[in-house]
Amino acid sequence: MPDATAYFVADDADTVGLASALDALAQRFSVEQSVARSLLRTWLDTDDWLLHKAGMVLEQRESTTDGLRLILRRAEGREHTQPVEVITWPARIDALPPGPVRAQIEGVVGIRALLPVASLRALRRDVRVMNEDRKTVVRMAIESSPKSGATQLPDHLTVSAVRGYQAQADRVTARLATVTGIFAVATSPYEQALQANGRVFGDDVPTPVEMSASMPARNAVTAVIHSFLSTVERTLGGVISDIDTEFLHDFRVAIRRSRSTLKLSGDVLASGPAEQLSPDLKWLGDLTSPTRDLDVYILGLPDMADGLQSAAPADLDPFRDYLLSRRRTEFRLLVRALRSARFRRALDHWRALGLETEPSNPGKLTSAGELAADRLSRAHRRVTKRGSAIGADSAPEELHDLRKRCKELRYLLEIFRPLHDPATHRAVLRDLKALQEVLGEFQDSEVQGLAVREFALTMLSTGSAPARTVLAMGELAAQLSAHQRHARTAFAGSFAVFNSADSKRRFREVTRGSSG
Amino acid sequence: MRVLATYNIKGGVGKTSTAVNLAYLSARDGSRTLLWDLDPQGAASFIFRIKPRVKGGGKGLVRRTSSLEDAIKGTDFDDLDLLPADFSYRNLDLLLDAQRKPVRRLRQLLRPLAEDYDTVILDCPPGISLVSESVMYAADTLLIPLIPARLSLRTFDQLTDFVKALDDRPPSLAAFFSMVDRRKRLHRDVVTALTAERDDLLRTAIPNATAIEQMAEQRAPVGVFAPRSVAAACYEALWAELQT
Repeated sequence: MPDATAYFVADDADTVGLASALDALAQRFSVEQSVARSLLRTWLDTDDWLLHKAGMVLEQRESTTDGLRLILRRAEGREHTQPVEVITWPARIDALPPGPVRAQIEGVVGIRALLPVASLRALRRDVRVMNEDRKTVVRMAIESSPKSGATQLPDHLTVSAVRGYQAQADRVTARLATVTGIFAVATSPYEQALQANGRVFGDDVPTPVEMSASMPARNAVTAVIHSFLSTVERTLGGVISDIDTEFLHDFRVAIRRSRSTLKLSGDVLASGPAEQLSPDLKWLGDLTSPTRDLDVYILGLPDMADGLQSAAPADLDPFRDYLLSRRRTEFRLLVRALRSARFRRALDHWRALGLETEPSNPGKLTSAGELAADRLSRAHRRVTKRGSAIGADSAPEELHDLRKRCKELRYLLEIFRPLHDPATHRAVLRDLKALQEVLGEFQDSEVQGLAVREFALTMLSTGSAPARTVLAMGELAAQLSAHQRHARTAFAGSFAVFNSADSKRRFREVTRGSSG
Repeated sequence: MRVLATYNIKGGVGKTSTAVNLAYLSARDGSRTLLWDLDPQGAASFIFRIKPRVKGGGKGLVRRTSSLEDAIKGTDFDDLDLLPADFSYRNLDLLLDAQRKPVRRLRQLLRPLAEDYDTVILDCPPGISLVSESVMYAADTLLIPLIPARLSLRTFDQLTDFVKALDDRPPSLAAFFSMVDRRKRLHRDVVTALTAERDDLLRTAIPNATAIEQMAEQRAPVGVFAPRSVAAACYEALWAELQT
């Protein structure tokens, strides 16, 4: 199990660099090398780099001698290996057989699929450096990429200390540093292969919008909407291929945020293109809802099944099958629409936004700072006013409406985040998030409860629901009602915190910051 | 994390050979494995070519002035690490005795390793002492190699009674015949008779084989240098039996 690691690459001009490195080591250490074998190394991570964020590197290694293996390297240098059969990537965690690698990563990747992020064909020789007892104290790997391979890296050498033998590895590294024809690098073959494949860690997050209080409001809003467009374009392939549910989630969030931005701040743009895009965004929102809603039910079903008191979780299997079947139908419709001319036109409208020569709408709000202060204050007032009007007897619709207003405020805060003091911004967001969670639980429980009832009726009418399933679904509906009641009770407390003098003071600080 | 320990009051019954070979097989099967060589003679450390030395000695580990994690060494095999012996372990009894709840100390020391290892194997020195009692508290299973003789069974029965009387979760006992010499009629008779007679003995018996003696020469588990030997097959069978 390796400890810390060092990397060397051969100088392009020096074709004997790595061979002379071994010769140099052999003068001072006992060295043994394996025969060369051909390898295909494929590194995997989720689209949002969850493994990288957790300090893990996952590799599928296919070799002529060892077959196919998954190798996981954790932040502190520990390695876990698991032989596997062929896995078709991208794959979700349940496609991996049980074993040490899966056990380490399943809590990290959760519902996200693993995708190949870089690959490298290499000819590899393993080298053991041994002490006087012929105990391996340092492991080295020398790899060269075939010149015809898709990914070309210079010949490279990796030095890993066996656990507990770091001092010996340091001596080996120091010796290698004196060899001409090779030089130390800070990046691993994985990072080099990523770079060669045109990827960088964190490339799932769009480049942050550069915004200053003094920049023209129109430019700021255009940049924000274009950044959402880049998320839509980036996730589109994943949505259509149905790699995992989160591509559609991110796709949908970007649409919703664009729609809100256009609604709340679109008046600073020229009216023509904005008016064209607005119905497109509504169409896209409606289009993606059924599949996403079904995803939410399917993902939440195991937890709900665990909470059943009298029914057995397996009683819900026909319900799950029904949801999956409905999802397949809705997903087909979604993909058809995303491949349609209408969708391509919507993207064209989106891309054209802000590029028109038509002048902006006349108005007083010419800078991003002024726009942010004005829209944030208005949105905050709407939330406090509507929230204050809600009492014990208020209709559920009033809470639903408040939830929408909270979302608008949240989007505005996120859009104009670059203008705010980070600490105050975080505090304001925390107050709002707490309120949103309660409102979310209230509405989601209601909507899901109604949906469960509707699904039960449909399943009964089509004869696809045995009695035990309908009974279990009844229990689910009761569970959801209990959640809703709980959220209703918690509302007053959450709103009181949001509406407190302290929270309002923090919000004023944020809006003052916006205006520069 | 599953903790196994090889134990017998007598020396020279195959405890270390069992610990080394089972640790190797455990790691080979993909289980992250740590072998702790608790015997100051350091035979397991020697076989894995690791110097029997721990910075701070047994005192540092027991008093937690030095870290168990820092003392661990990687072996030449994937997923198999070793916590080496140290000559100071000869005083481990006294060091444990100076602690509060001495018999639970070993278990406390192992607890932080649960995230890093699936299997820990403790190779215990012979004798009955505070160290062996601590091992009984720390282990989920005691692996007890028995020389094929009636007296060995008597000692095993005494141990069974002792373990039952422990005031905390007692480990399960997995006794098996070891160093069986098929050329000796007495060995053959005892193994046949007692295996049929008693249901608390494992079915696998480890032979008295040259391959096992060669471990100290080859400085490797049997499966590495004599994978097709009878001894290697017997350790495989023992390991498989322990998984059931």
